[in-house]
Amino acid sequence: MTTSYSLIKPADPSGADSPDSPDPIVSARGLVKSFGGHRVLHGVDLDVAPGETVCVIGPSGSGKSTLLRCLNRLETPDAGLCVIDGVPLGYAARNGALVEVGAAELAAQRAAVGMVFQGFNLFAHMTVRQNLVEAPRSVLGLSRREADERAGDLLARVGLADKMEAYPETLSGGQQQRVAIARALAMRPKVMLFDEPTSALDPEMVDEVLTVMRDLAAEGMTMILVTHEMGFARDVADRIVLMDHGAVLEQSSPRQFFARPATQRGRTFLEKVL
Amino acid sequence: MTIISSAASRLDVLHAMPRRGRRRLWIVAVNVVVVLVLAWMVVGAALTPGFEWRLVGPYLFDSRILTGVLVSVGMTLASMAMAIVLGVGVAALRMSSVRAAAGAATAFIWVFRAIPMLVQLLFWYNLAALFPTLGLGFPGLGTVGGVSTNEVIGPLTAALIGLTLHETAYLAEIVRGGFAAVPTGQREAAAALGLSPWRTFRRVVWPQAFRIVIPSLGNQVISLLKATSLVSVIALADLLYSAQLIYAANYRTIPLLVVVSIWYMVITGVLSLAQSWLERRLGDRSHRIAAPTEEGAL
Repeated sequence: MTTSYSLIKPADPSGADSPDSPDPIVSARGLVKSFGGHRVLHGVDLDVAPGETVCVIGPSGSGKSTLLRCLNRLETPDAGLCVIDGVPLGYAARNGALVEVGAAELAAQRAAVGMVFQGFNLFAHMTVRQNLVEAPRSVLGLSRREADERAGDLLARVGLADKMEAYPETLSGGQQQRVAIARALAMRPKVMLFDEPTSALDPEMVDEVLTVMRDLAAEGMTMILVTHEMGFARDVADRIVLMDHGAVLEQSSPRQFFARPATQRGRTFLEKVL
Repeated sequence: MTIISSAASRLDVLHAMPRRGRRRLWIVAVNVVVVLVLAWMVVGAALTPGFEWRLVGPYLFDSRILTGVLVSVGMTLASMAMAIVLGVGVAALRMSSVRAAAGAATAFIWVFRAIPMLVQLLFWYNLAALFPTLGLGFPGLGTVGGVSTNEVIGPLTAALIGLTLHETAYLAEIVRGGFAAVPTGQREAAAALGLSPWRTFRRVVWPQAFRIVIPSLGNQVISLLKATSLVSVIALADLLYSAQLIYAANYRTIPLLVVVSIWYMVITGVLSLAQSWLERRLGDRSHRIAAPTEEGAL
């Protein structure tokens, strides 16, 4: 699908295609997270280059979603740090030391990271347009006209230009998820996180959402996604990260991974899902 | 007698399915009988001379009664408005992760819901007996400032404090339920977009919680209106007490109670209309969202 304009600001042409690993735009180090005594993440490291699409896969309960939610600090990790485009999320450098910031400041940092949820989570009391302009207006300080214009462009881009004034409940699951993607993009994020974006959809609606994501990846958006869509992972991902028991088991190119995972557990997992 | 025997016969007919015609006839007959009996009872009761209907009309618009109506409605609206603000605050404390705050809110709700409205009103009215002067007191250090309690807390103040605190306790629980009914995903989506906690509350959580809470809020306003009649015990001239003052002098007790009842019914009717108007205006979109799975963090 070719488009007349891009969803995102053009990526820096010099860095994105370079084979030498450029500075990562996402850099997570030693992420640890427990829920009520149960350790879900055991010190996970993850680097993602600008423009890269990373698919995180693994059995349920392996910590994929928790990892994703630690990346934008929806979950506060017990230990470890995530740096997004040079900004350590949740911290500020003061007198050479990292100091934890307050909730409002953290919120502002989060604006650089877009997130799409399994359950869409569109604001139910707002129209599609209101969903798209809320954050750009209140967080980025866009004027009403600018925000409306941006919303219109993005909705056209995800094929829902006629749904501006519709309420989420009147839309199908696939349409809601496309609106949710547009809503996240309206913040012009540097990274997009997708948490099983198609798992709650009826099978016939999965493709319309994957198509939007495929275009996004093709345009150079940095994407990290937790998914069970192995076909999508194979076709679109630049890198597969396999998690199990709260740790990264292996990571490799989709070609390598789907040909033959390096670990026995990887092979067992692949046999189950394919 | 007629009703019982006809109902019994109707049961027989129900079992004899094919005879549809006779069954319908019976249903009509039973309805007619019930309506006639009820009408006979109501009209008969209403015609009792003791009602003195001819006095009801004039007293309905007696200036003392109208003032009472204003006092009752005014107290209802004022304490409801204060209770909404305080109730949201107490609900927020109750949900706070700070244990002491949550505990204090729980204790507040327990105390002010447990003690009957009437008792609370008497307490506030008689506060002077407990604390003759009011000021900031520090145990062992004495009191800063100090004004005569009786000067500050007259019947109206006592009534407003009592009604507001009692209502606050109920509203706090209702509001908490409203907040809890807004799916977590809404907050997470707002946070992920970079909305500050206050903005998330103002723009995302509160509007949805408010819609969920409106029907209960409507009920509370109506019970509060009726609860204001209790202030008659502290000699505040609300609707009921104004009527009581009149019939204490002229012994026209029943017609004045009818006047009072009519006013309460009219005000309640208006409040109900306002409630359904508000519900329609806001629509019921918010609580029909069936966000598919609210999967946890794993």
